[in-house]
Amino acid sequence: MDIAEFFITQKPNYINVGDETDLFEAAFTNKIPVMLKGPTGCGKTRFVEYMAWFLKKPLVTVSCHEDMTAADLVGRYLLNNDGTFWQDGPLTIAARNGAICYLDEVVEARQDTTVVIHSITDDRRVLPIEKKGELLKADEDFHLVISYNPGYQSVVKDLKESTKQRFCALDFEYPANEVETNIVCSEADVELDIASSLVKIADKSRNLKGAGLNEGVSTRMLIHAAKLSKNGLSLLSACEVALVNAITDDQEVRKALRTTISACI
Amino acid sequence: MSLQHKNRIKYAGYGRNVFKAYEDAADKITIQIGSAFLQEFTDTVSYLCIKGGKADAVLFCKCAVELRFKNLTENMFFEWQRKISDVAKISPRVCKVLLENNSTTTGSLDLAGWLDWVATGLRYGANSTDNMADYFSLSNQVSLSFFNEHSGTLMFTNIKEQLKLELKSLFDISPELISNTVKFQSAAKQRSSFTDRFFLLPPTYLGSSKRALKTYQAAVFHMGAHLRYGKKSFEVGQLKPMQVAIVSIIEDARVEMLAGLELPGLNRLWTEFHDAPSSGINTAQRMFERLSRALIDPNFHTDDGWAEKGKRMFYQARDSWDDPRISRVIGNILGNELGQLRVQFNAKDYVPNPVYRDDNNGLWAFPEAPSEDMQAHDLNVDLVEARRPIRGNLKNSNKQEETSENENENYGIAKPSIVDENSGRLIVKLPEFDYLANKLRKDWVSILEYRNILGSSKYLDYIESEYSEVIQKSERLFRSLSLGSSRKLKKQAEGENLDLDASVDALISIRTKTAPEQNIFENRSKPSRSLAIHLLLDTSESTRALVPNSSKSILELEREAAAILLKSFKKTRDPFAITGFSSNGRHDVRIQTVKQFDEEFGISNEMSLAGLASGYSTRMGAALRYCGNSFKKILTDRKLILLVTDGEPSDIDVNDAKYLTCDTKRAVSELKNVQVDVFCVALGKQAGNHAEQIFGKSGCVSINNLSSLPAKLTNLYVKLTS
Repeated sequence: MDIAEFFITQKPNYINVGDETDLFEAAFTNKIPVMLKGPTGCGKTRFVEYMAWFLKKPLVTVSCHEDMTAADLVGRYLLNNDGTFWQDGPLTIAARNGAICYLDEVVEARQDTTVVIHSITDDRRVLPIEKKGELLKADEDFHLVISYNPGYQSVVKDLKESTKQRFCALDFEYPANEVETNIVCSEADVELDIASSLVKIADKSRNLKGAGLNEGVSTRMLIHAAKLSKNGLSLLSACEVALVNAITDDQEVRKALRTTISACI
Repeated sequence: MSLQHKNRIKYAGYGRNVFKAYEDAADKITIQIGSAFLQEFTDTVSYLCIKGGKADAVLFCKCAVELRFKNLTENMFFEWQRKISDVAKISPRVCKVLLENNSTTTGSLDLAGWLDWVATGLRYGANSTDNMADYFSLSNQVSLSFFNEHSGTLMFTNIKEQLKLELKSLFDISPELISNTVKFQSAAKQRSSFTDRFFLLPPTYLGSSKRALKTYQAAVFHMGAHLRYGKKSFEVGQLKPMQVAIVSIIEDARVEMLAGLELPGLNRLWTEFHDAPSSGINTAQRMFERLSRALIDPNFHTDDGWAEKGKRMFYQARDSWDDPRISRVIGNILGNELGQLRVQFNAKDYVPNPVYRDDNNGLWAFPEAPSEDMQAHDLNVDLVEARRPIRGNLKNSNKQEETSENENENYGIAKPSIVDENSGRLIVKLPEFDYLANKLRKDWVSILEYRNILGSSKYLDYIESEYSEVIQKSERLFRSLSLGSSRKLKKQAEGENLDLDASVDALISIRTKTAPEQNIFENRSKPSRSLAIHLLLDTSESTRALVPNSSKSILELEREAAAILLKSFKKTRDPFAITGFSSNGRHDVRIQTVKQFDEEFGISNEMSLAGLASGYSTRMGAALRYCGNSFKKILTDRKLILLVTDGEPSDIDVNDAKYLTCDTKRAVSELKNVQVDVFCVALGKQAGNHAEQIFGKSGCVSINNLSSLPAKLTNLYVKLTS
């Protein structure tokens, strides 16, 4: 697999909301793995893409899921006409080639899977590939980033303490209203008033977090709604499709969201 | 008209009035639908004359003529007549009350709805004709609530949850929303009211359900705006009632304008309700309505110079809208002017308009709170209690109250407003199924949590010594049980390792140029155990009975079985809860919480288990629904209610044996729909027969030798869940 494919060539549209880029750069320089915490759709993935572009490093992204095994990360033997051959997994590719490896929603993976990153996230920086009998020493530029949404996962899904404590953590929240408005404007190319109405709706609906909603309306959802309205849909319909219907099936909560939307516009 | 029927009434000695009314009704109805109804009609008139009174019979005849069902047919008349006759046989007095409101009820409901409403009334007053008469009287709020529910009028209770969510979303506040249900006021005068913790709302608002919903929204958002943009209450000081009213109007407009700046949709909502004409008579009420409209609707212009002046001053102070003092300043000026205009103001009759506005009591610090007006509401919630700050209440609360509050949060249920230490705490109202009406009556049963009687703190030690053999046996059983382990899965499409056998086969296929098998990986299955269990113990009076050939009562054995089962829960690490239940009528389904899902089993739980006491009846369906609710936050794949009972469903307010059985059956199927399994352990042969009827053969087991319950329950649990 050609590592060149993993470089981000175009500057991702990311608006800095605090000192997160400086913090990330410092962690990268000091080879400290980074954990990005925050609700879904608040810009964690975009931030990693931006940092990969900024640091000019390839980015290998893995979306974690419950059925993911250690072999899915490290690699496995596969079959071809001549017999078996070894295929590096994404973590191994990143470690060999000095890439940023981004494990998105890492708690979705089972705990026995995530322990595979232990030896590569402490000062040893090695990845034992047992099946192959190889002890891979990570490239100087290899950097591991995981994202973690503490909000909505079940209590049974959490990182082991020993995993957590290997990382430094950046807390992400939804951006402040003005910043979020700018993001919606620039991502969906809509007028300021549309964007600010949407951000107001999001701001209000986030009050329902824990009182009917597991998570508030995300920036990503706002961008979807804005794009739909840009395409000719009325703002009400766009919100219905992109926000209300998407975020919950609870009829009471849907009604409350609709009232919130009509109060905000 | 049949002469025979006519003569029967004429010569029975019921008097002239009865005969006249009878003859008139019989003639008119015969023209409408033919004469087939006469036999039963005559019987009912006769019955009412004898058992009720002549006036009742006359009333019945009049009602029959004035029946207001739309598109009345012969069959519809028969159904109505039959039901009236049924009610008359139960109680002529109740029948009279029912007939007195016949015009209203048959005018508002269709026949099916009317029959349903009457059936609900008969069920409501099953034990007391007073209650029944009360229900049919439409003279108080409870009776009206039932009627409105049947007639499709929007009730506050139907939209309470929605309003709470909307307030939370728009204003980030969570006041308790309460309906002032006891004293019925004329609908036109109903106004909401608020404190910093409570919003009080009328049980209904007039108008279509869409309009009523908007009124409720406008009202709660208005009060929400007061909480958000108002500061502390105004001091009344030397202000006259008229000035108080005017300052309140300015303040209402101020908070609405501020809310409208942030949430323009609210401004539109409120403005819709302001319909005061621009000119008209100059009574205080009308002038205030014009002022209210002028203040929040910049496009409204009026001939009323006074209101225009108010509007001008209000908008000139635009930059100071965030300061409540401007309301007082502008209000004072306007009040003085109005005084000079000699406009009469009658504080008693004054009602803030439009209808969504509150009664202004929340704005003012009256010297003697609550105000007369507030007292007049005659609320079922003690407002003095309601006005007390939250912290004050918590300070005095005991552990049980805290637990219950936690529980309320868990279930997302409104907290009870009254705490009586001697009685239970209302935690939720649940529906019940009436098989006769084929209807799930909502909020029919009240679940009350009672303070636990605490037993020995050494109870588990006692169990250990008494049942050491049983416990050892069950521990062996658990050791042999593979709990939560994973299995090797061969020939998988994906996997961590190659399945050696499958790989070799695949290579052979490749070499022999045949299509190789794709599934050549080996994987492990996920741990399979994901189960939560709610152990529900019947603690009704019958469990006090001693078990044959034993010195222990049934409840004692239930407790001991539960204690041994605890050991299993610890081994399997299944989340579990334990609850005891009994009932004393539908208003008092009694819950004793031994352990909730979200707490560790500690010494207080041990003492609660040891202290479970027998008493009252067995309203099983309600208890099952309650347990079902407790799973709401549990994320396991399987959820199980294990019910241990010694009898059939029964309660003091139900005479119909089938009623609670059907309700329990219904509860079980409702729970199945939400993936909660119910399994019943029936104690004794008779209980076993009943259980089989309700839970089906595969949903229950009967234990005839009750002494073996402690040993058997654990085995059963293992069998059920492995």
